[in-house]
Amino acid sequence: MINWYGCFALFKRECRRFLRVWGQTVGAPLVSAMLYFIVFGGALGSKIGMTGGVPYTLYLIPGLAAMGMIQHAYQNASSSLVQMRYVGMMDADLLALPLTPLQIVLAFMGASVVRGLLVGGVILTVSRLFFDYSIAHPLLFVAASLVITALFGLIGLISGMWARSFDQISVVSHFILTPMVYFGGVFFSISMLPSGWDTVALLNPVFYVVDLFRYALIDTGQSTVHLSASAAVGLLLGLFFLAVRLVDQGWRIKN
Amino acid sequence: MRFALKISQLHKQFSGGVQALENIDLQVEPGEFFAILGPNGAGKSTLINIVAQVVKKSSGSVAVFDCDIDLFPQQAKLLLGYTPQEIALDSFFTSRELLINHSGYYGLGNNLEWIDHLLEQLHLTPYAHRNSKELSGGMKRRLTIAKALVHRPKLLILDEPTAGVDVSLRHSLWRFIQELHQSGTTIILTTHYIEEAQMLADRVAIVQDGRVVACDQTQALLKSFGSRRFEIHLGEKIDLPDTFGPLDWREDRMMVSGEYRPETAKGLFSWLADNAHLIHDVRMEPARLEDVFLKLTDRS
Repeated sequence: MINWYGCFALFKRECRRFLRVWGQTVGAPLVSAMLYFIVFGGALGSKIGMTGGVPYTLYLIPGLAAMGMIQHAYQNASSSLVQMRYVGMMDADLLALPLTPLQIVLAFMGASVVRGLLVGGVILTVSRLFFDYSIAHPLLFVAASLVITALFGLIGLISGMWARSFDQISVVSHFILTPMVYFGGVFFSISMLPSGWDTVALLNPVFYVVDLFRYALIDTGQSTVHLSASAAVGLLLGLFFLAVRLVDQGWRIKN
Repeated sequence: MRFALKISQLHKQFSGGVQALENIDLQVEPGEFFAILGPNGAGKSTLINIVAQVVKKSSGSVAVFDCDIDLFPQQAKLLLGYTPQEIALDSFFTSRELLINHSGYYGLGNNLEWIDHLLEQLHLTPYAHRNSKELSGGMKRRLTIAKALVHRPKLLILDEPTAGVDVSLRHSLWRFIQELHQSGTTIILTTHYIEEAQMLADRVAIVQDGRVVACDQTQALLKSFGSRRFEIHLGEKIDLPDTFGPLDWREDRMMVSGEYRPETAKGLFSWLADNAHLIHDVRMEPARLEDVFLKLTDRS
């Protein structure tokens, strides 16, 4: 018997959890996005000029949306697991549940996708106040949004399993994820980086997902769409199978 | 025979090298009320945590109603309800929401009637819409039990269910657990309250240093290892002959107790008759599981 309703219930619980603190999960990224648009788009945008063949404010929009999606998809799974561990819920509310490792991964990843999409949607809606644009490749846009949020939901899940404390989660977030996001072409084209750093940036997986998302939204990008899509989907599949395997082994969550 | 729980040759060694369980063999029959007793660190919680699949075993096999936890882990989990020793509740939800969520994990989408019944039975109805973090320790304990019962498991595992619960609530919990047992649920209980095990359990296993040192019907254990005790309350300080065996004197030496042995009964009663004017009260106590426990775990 495969308990898919149980998987849905865990997904629903994860979604309701972040909706209970909507000020933190939706309100905060909304305010941050508006500040970024006002400071970078409004005040500095005209001085930076055209970037990647489009005005800087427009260039910034997909970057900020992708950053919000990445950070919140990551936080959803990672903070939920660390909180479970901190409170002591891991045993009765996760490990003892009649769910397969695949179902557990799908539930956490799915809720991260929902939170990431919600945050991305809010940022893109607000961005319309600052710049009028339309989605260049709607289907690819939907696919890229799903891939980005799922990918970082999985990274959050694995980080949450690894971390023994909130401190360790913030170490991953601040010392690994944030530099990757900032050097991933969120705020600028990587061609603007000093010589040598642009090559390093090409090794950054965030660059490919942001580039793919930017292409889907405003039809501009630095990498080829096929390369970006392949890198993002390849990474997603790899992490998905790794996450299922780790949950199956009870890696760092089962004594 | 189909066992509610069958544990064979179970070993558990933690990564630090600590041998938590060694060569455990246990069978619990359907409908049985089974208690696991043991001193702190004996391995009781490790044992039931392995059955609940929240701790990995090193070797051996565990089957819940013939569902081997290695071959059919999800099916085995569906058959059992588990309350961990530590209370941990999801602080994002109210008591009722928490039970609805838990119900869902077990594949039950429409279970409100049973959830409300559980809330009522466990005296939680007035707190159904209160956030779990606003509940007292006793209420949290009862909510943890409700969570374990939300999918009507055939086997219920209770790890120290009445720890931190006040006396009147403990009695109402005992009644509730007995009703569950009478309705056919197999119950496995670990407890520090030995009188709880003596009162509720049909059979008892005593675990020490990761091994089962005794496992039998509660009455059989009492008969084999337990002994009746006498208690004499004195009117003035006098000595008792040393032929009555080891004696426990109260600090003020106005009360003395000892093991009642048939071979010394004649002498004891004769001494009591001779000194009746100095004696306020004499009590004979039945054999206690606590004495069996102390004897077998060598902690007396």
